[in-house]
Amino acid sequence: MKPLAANLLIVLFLAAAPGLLSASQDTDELVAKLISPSETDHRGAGELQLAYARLLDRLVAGLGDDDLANRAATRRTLESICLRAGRPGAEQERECLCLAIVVRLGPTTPHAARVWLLKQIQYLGRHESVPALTLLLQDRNPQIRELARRALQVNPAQGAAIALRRALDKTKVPRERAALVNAIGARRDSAAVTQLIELSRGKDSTLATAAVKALGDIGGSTASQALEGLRHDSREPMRTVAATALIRIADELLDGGQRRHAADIYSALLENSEPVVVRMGALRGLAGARQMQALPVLLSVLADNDQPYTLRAVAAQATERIPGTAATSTLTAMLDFLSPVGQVILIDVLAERGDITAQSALLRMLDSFESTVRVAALQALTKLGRHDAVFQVAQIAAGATDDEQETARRTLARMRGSRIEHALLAHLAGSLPEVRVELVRALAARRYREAVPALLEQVRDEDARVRVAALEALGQLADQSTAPALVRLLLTAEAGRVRKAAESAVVATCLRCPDAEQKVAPLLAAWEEAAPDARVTLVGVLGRVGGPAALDAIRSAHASGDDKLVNAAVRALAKSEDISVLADLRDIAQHSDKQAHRVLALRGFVRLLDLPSERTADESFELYEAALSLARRPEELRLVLGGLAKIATADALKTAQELRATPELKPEAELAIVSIARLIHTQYHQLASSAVEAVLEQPGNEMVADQAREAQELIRAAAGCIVNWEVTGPYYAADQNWEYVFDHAFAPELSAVEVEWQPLPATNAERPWVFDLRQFDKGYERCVYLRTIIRSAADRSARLEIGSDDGVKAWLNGTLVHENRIARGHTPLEDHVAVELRAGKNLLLLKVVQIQGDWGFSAAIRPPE
Amino acid sequence: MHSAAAAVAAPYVLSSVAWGQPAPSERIALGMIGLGNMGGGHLHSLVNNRDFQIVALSDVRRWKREEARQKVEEAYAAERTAGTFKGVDDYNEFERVLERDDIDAVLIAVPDHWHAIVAIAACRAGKDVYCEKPLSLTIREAGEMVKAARRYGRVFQTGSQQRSSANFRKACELVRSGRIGRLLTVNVGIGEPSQEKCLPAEPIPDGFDWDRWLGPTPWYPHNAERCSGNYSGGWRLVRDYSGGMMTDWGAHHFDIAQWAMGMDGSGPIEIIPPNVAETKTLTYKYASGVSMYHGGANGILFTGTDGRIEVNRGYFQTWPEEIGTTPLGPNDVHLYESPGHHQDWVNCIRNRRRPICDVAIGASSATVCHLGNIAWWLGRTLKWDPKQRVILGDEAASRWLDRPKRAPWRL
Repeated sequence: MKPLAANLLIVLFLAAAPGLLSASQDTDELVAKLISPSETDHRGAGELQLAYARLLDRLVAGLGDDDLANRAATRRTLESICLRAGRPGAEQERECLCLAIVVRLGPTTPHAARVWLLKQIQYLGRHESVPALTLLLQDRNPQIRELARRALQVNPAQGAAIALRRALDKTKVPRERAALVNAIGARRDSAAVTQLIELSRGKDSTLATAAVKALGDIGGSTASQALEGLRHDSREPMRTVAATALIRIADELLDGGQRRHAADIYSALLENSEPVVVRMGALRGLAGARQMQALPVLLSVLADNDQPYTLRAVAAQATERIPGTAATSTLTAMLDFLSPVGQVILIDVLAERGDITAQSALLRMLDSFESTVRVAALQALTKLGRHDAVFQVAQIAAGATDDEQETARRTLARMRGSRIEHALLAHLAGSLPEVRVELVRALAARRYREAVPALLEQVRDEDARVRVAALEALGQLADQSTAPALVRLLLTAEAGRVRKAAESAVVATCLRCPDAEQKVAPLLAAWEEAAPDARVTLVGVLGRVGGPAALDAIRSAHASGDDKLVNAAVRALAKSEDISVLADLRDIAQHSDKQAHRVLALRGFVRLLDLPSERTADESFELYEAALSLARRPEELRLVLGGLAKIATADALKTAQELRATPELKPEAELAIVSIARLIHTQYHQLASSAVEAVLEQPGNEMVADQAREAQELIRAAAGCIVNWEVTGPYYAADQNWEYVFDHAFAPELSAVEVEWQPLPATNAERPWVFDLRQFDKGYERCVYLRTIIRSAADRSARLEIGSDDGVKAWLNGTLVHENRIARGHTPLEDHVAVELRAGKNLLLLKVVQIQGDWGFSAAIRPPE
Repeated sequence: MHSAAAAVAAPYVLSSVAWGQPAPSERIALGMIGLGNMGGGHLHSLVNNRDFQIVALSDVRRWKREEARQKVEEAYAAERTAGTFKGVDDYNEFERVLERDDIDAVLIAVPDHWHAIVAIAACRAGKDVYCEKPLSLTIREAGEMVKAARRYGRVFQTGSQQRSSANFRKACELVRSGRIGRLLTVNVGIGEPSQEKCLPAEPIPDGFDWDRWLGPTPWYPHNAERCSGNYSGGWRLVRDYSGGMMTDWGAHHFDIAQWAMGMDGSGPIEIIPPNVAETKTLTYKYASGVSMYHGGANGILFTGTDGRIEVNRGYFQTWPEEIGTTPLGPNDVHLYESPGHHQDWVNCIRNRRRPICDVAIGASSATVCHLGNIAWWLGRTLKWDPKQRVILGDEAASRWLDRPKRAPWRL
């Protein structure tokens, strides 16, 4: 390409001649052509320059437009042209465009346009841009001077470097001189070293510091010598600045393969008199430069208890730059000579090296007197331990306590390698029982299903601890093919822990069967040959496994007439959590001739009624009525009353009130009345209120009176409380804290945006206007919106009461009526706000912000204060 | 860097006898630099964390400093009564925090354009660092931050805290253990790059050091939107200060994608912008053959030959379901388990290990984000050498790897 002046002549010449692009083209058409490969790829420089010049003439005004939308649009247009011209292989386009830009960088161009054009040149300009940018270093406007400096800093032409050096001599403004020094440093302009050395000795400390750092950027022997001199001759902080600059030079040398030169610099910076960070850099560098030869220095620092802990850690970690087993061997040999602190540091480093030759040293460390060293070694063995470490780790797991035991167990569970499991199995023979327990646990933790046969052998071990561990492991690993063997074991196991473990193992194994109908097949198969006592055991297990087939078997046992079996069947049914046995239990409670069975069945019946279900409250009440009819003794009636107390119906309240007339049941019935009243008062305010007042007139005992008074207060307080809400959310923004969430208008606040609302379920049965939003969402730094309709017979003043955890905002009919930017726990109805209700429907919208911890709210509308 | 098998257990606590100095019971003297949205959030959390004693605060807005100081003094009121509270100082200039010998660590939550300068200066000053994500404003800055942390032996946690979340770790462990077979594609659901903005000049609020807020970026007159931390606008969407949602969310979701691919310290080899050739969306190609797409996921979606895993905050799903319910075995990949992002940093300050999101990890994840932005802005495909960290065969694109800094600032 021709130099700038010659190109300008071409522009002028072509501007007068008919060119590629007609004068009548509009700007959009021109832009389209300039970013189209078919239009620009084969055009000559003259044509392109003319086109760019014409385009820029049209765009410059827009780039400086006071209408910022137009200015932004014009910027985008120009940038798209520039990005296109900067693509690889389009040198001609790039140069032509730059030439068209640089002649428009002068003061006659609007300032905002100059700024944007300079930004483009920063990314696009090369040699053709240097003269214009050089002139701009002397521009009257400091922003333009700065942008020109930035553009020259990244301009690859040698002329840019010359321009910056010359400008450094001419510029008087201190900040701009520092900027030029930074630019020279960033360019790594070795021709500027002498100039920078001079500045580094100057009185202007900012400039001197910049110069020293620039010398560190540039490097080379002259810069190094100068920095070395400064390090000795100057005071802090310049000494440290020079030292860190030297470290950077050495790092560059090392990266460039000049190990010896780098090592010389690092070695000089290792003196104790140097700042710790400098020594850290030097130690790390020395490891890279000298490799094995650096190890004595590194290890001497690590072993020196008088050195700062962080420096010792860096010395150890620097060994990561010295690969190979020879280094590992030196490091492991050093372990025995270190203090516990040094050992822990080095063990961590050995773990990160991943060299398994360190294993024997780590095993040696397991004998340390210091538990932290043993724990560190155990952790390292997770990564480096192989099969021959298994036994020693298992011994620790068996003998240690707390953290050390947990770490050893985790190590056994996580050690990698194909032979670990074989080692665990092999050591089962001949180890002490407590070690065998740990080996068995590890096999289970590693989910090693091939261990099942060996575990079945351990189940016959003399030591009960081993038998229990083996059964627990089988419960985790065995599939249904093992169930028959486990059932046999169960049926012969002695009572106590072992039988319990066996029963759990059988249950777990059966439950693991994917075919629901086959779950109890092994139990039913054993049934046929089982002795009566064994059948009793099987009935219990069948009950725990559950399912239709199990229940059928239990029912047939109940019908067998064998006392022991019937007894086991009743117990199994009474423990069942299968709702389908309700009828069985009701029948037994009603018809059994044994009181114990009737009682067991009734208890089971009531317990089942108390489990979560899809029944309506009325359906549940009917079942409780049935239970009441079956209850014969006061303690049974009390049991039923305990369940009835949770039924939120008016009928339940009435039944409890009737039972109150029975003297033996009075306190329990009153507690049920109070409890039911608390549940239904939002629906049946008067009924609940009267019931509680009646209790208070003659309470059975002081506890009843206390609870009734609390309920009375609650019912009074609940007047006007809002229980029906719809919710949407949560709303949050990544990385934003609650204050942002509080302030930001998410979609529900914006009338134009549709959001999806859903009913908010009650979270507090007793105080249904108090909502726990953590049950809705567990996250932090977020909010939800809640809305409800308040109907008013007439326009009237009212008091809105709101409690919240944490901050809250409230809008009534679209108007913000309350906000409380606060982190707090939920005190119901804490904030009071005077509001005006309209006749008819009023929309109340709340925003409740969660910071962290609990999250909830409450609201009420009441007469004004 | 953490290797896949590191699987380090919960941190152990050294006895004071073994430990010598500094005892784990000692509180870490902390300086907080940047007290805006993120800084305020960290302050809210850390002021009640007994591992730390906040001793210095820095922000270029006087009112933010005053609010923060009040919050710290209120939180430490009991210690003041007990006579153990040594006070908290606040500074306009972050350099004043770094000059103090009594400060062990700094938490940096300034806007992105300041991250590298402050973090490198902190490393040089011998402070351990927690730096908000994205790690840097440019790719070169990220590399320099790694060098500084290593050179000066610093514990450096990047604030991509999803790494400390069990859901995300589990997803990565499953992918790396081959539970979805051979990984084919990754979809990452995040927003778009920042843009240049034209904004009018507005008066500078009293107590706001505007020139310092701009710092190393080109000078512009003050405008509230330009420097607002508001998430729906503000500096995050202005190219001079941030890479937009590509870096802001990318530093979370691309970070998890990198983790799952085992690409920490490395990255893609080709980046194809949207609407180029047959590609409708920004696409990253990895040497492994995996393609990573911008969009198309609730969080991050991993698709392999045998299944899919999708993960986001509070969301984890696998297809088929058993992929997520079958426990990992000892020979599966177990990744580093962080006890929480702050706590992991604390533990590492004490034991000098590298934290869950060490600076080198933050750097490679931020690099993925920045490369996507550069390809997007330039509208052309980039070839990237993840080892040498250079763009191949495109000199103009290479200039986007860094930005000159306004004096007197430099790395």
